[in-house]
Amino acid sequence: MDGTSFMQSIINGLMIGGVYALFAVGLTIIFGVMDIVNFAHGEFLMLGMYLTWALSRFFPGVPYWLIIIVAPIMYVIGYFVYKLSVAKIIGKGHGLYILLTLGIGVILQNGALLLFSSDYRSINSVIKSAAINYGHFTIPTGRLIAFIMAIVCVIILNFFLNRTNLGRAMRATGEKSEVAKLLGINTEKTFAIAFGLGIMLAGISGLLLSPIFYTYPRVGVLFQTTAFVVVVLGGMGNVVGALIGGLIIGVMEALTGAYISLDLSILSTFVIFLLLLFFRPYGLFGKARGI
Amino acid sequence: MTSILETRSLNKSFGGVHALADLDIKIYQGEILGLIGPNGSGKSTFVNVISGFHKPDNGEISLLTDTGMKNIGGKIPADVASYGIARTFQSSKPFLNMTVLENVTIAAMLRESTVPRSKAKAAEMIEFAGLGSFKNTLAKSLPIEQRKRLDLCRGLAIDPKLLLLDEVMAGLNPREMESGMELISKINQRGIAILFIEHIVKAVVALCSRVIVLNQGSLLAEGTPKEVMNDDHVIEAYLGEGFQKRGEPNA
Amino acid sequence: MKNLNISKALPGIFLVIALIFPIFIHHDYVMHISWMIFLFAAMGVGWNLIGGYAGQLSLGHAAFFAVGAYTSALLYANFHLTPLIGGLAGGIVAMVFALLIGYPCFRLRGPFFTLSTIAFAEIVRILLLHFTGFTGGALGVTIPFTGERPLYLQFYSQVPYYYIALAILAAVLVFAFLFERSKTGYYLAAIREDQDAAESLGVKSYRVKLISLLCSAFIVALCGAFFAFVSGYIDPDGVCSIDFSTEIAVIVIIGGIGKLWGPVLGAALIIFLTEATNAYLGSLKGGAGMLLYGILLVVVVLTKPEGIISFFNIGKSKGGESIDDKHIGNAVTE
Repeated sequence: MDGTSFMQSIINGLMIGGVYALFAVGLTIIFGVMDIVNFAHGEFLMLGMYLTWALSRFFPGVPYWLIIIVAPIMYVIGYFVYKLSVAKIIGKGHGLYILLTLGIGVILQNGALLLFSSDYRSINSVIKSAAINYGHFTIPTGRLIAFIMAIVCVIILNFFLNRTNLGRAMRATGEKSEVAKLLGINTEKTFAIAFGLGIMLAGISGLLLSPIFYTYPRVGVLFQTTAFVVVVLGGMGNVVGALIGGLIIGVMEALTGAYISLDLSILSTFVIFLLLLFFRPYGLFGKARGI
Repeated sequence: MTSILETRSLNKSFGGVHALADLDIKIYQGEILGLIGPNGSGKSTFVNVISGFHKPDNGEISLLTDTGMKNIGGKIPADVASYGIARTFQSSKPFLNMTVLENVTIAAMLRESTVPRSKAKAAEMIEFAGLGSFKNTLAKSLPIEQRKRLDLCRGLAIDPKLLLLDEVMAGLNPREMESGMELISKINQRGIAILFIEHIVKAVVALCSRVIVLNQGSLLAEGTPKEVMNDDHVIEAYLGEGFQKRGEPNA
Repeated sequence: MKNLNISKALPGIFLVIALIFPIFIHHDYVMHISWMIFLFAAMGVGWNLIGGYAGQLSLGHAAFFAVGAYTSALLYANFHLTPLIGGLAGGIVAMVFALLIGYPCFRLRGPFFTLSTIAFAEIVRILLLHFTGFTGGALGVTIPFTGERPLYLQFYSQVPYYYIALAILAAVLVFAFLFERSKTGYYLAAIREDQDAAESLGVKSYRVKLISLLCSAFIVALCGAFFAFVSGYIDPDGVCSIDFSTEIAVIVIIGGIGKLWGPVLGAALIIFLTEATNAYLGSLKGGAGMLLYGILLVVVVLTKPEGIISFFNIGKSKGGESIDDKHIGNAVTE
């Protein structure tokens, strides 16, 4: 095995793994606080990509700064999706959560298909082909920026959850919402914020991907299934776990793609998932619930 | 006396808290054994570990079966049930959207081969438990007294050797409690040993021939109800340190 | 009492109407739509065994369908085996796969099963795509039409397909009817109501769920085999997509999850709506049909979680408010 190309695969894997991580963190927060697996998460990523793409038509060039527009819009969308739908079935069980978010996902995906057709869209900017060469290694600039921004987001988020009152309230709600209620925490509001936050992270992931990936209605499907695996790998509800899980899955995929077969790279992810179910269903770092 | 269930140095802890500490307990065939103790003393944990809902950390739980004593520690709840241990839950757990008959039928299926035979047996049990007039009532619309009876009745329908009752008297008025105790003795007369966990001392004294007391997961006292009630340690555990029996000089 | 009698007679009335219907109308298109409805209804009933009665939502049932379709089609292509046997073989292979995901998942509580069904279906799809030599890869498998050969489910007319699909649906419904009233059916209802209580009474919830998944996988695989021969062509993205898995689930949920007749009603409605939207909007506007599913699904979940069958008072099953029930896949409580 050639050492350089092996290292190059690992670098590629880590870069994309950073985005998996950010995306999965959004999923794990929603699960950790609300006990809801958001089956529309990939579709919100897709929405973030389309939003970035649409905005970039008015503001051509490198799109990263659009985060200041995309992030709040996605947060508001998440907040209202919660208020208008999810809030109505809180406490009625997993079955309904899954079906509702699934339905929302189907609507978003096929709404996008109707509005934008199945054409592949891309944002043309210098980022697309730019790369940094360091010794024998090549790092595509877009992936590097995505990686760095994703990691920064996760760090800020972790700070928010651990050091601010609102963050602590969210964690308390995740541990046990009845108790949190008794402590005077407005769990309804916490849920809405958690959902908004999770959707915002999905949207930001979309933004980070849009300069390097094609945007099309089904783009979220693949990321979502991968994110499920990442979340289980990291322990459902575990933010740091999701971060590490994302990086691991990214590297695994890159290695499988490089050394076994490109079209089997996703397969490795799912095989990891099945192995997890057999041996460590609560993830590498354990956690059933709570963030 | 032969024991139907024995635990040997049974341990269970939850994140550092020793809920059960080296418990050695014997339950004899055909007896009603009272189990009391302050809140958090490990009573419910004991039931949960015996019935398979929690895995013991270590120690042995042996049950008398047709082929002698058998270690059932760590078996899943369904297996424990089929070995002949039935239990109730502190907060009663009926199948709310089913009728009383359906509730008991499900329990009876453990021993009966077909659905109709299970139904017939369930009907019999329902009569025995005094629920005859509620047979086709949905469990969710049962009054509390009948709900408790349903719990007992369901447990009974799996033909247990041992019945673990976790605070079945809670929430009942004195008259209801009286008839509940009658039902429990009637069950006991069928040869079923009963572990009776209760806060209400009157019920324990009336029903049990022997009582054990748990405190912080270990056995504090054992004896007849009267002996136990007069035990200094027991009084101390219930009422806090520094409280002495009246008439005794301070040491 | 009168209502009760009518609802008891309804299945018989439906059956008679369904049996004589082609005598009056045997237009190819109508027959085609009809057998599609029967097929999706039968699949829905199969899905319902695990998704409804056992309360374990599967979003990967297309995998079982694909396994049934591919097994029977490949057995025919390689050994010229009739789908009557190939279908059974497909069912058995699907059961083996079912065992593989059911075994680890049903020991756990929480959303693990749903997540792993998705992963599992993707694994099957990727493998079907990858092992080109064996499965034909993305090109799929074609079963050429070689004239009227009943043993290989090949007919010039659509009418025989109609009757075969009807027979499958009827058989599956009878099975589900007996299943509901079997010990397993009672146990599942008990588990949906309160898993702890059920286990304390000797119900091996893990085994009972596994049994329903096995039956469910078998039925859906059988439908897959039928489809492979009737349509004459299968490919991984057609028979094993996430969308297809979702469609199977959505049909049951909209119709009435955990109810015997829910899937039938759901299939009739969904297939009809899909055809109608396609006719009006044309296939150019792909996505309109699925968009409609999504909207229906959200509306049903928010307003009528028992499904539209609850508007009619038939097919009432014992226990559980089905998906409105807190105990579906409840999270770990320890």
